[in-house]
Amino acid sequence: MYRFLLFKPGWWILHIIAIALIFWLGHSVQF
Amino acid sequence: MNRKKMIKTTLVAGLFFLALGGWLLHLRIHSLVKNVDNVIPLISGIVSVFFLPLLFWFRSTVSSAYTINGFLVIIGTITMSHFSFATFQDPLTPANIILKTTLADISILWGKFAVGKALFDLEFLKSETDVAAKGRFFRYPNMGWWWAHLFALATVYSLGNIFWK
Repeated sequence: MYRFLLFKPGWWILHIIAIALIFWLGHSVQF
Repeated sequence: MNRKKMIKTTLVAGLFFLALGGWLLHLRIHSLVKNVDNVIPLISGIVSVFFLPLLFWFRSTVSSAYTINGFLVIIGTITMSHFSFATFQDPLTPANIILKTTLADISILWGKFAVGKALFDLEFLKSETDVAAKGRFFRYPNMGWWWAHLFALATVYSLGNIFWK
């Protein structure tokens, strides 16, 4: 993971996936 | 058993019991039978109780465990705060905020974070004058990095909740 993040596209790929997942989480959790 | 290994064993046990306690409290409230969405706390609990202690045990996986543990704590903090904001109906007094919100549950989570950080520091921190003292507060693995991610995740989560109905 550390090597993957040192590789610049790796950092972007991880952050785009993470943002999409958290955005979806915000949408799916409704109280 | 040397001193480091004894401390590590105690901390891993602490992490396991904190995670188990939190998970069992979750299972009591979030029954899968009632709502399939409860699969998120269920999976987080399984990861925390069964996988994180193992990952923290081996030096090669301590960094991954530290990162996963931190993000589970952040996600738990955000979702449980959201729950309190969304369902709080009592008068807004200090006593009600302390006793009738999910503050207690969030505190347990940050205790788990602290145990994870102690395990990480035990493995990698060389001295008090290490990275944190060199003005790299906002870089991994220092606390500023976690505060920045807590803020960022909370913002993205809120946007998803508000704008995607």
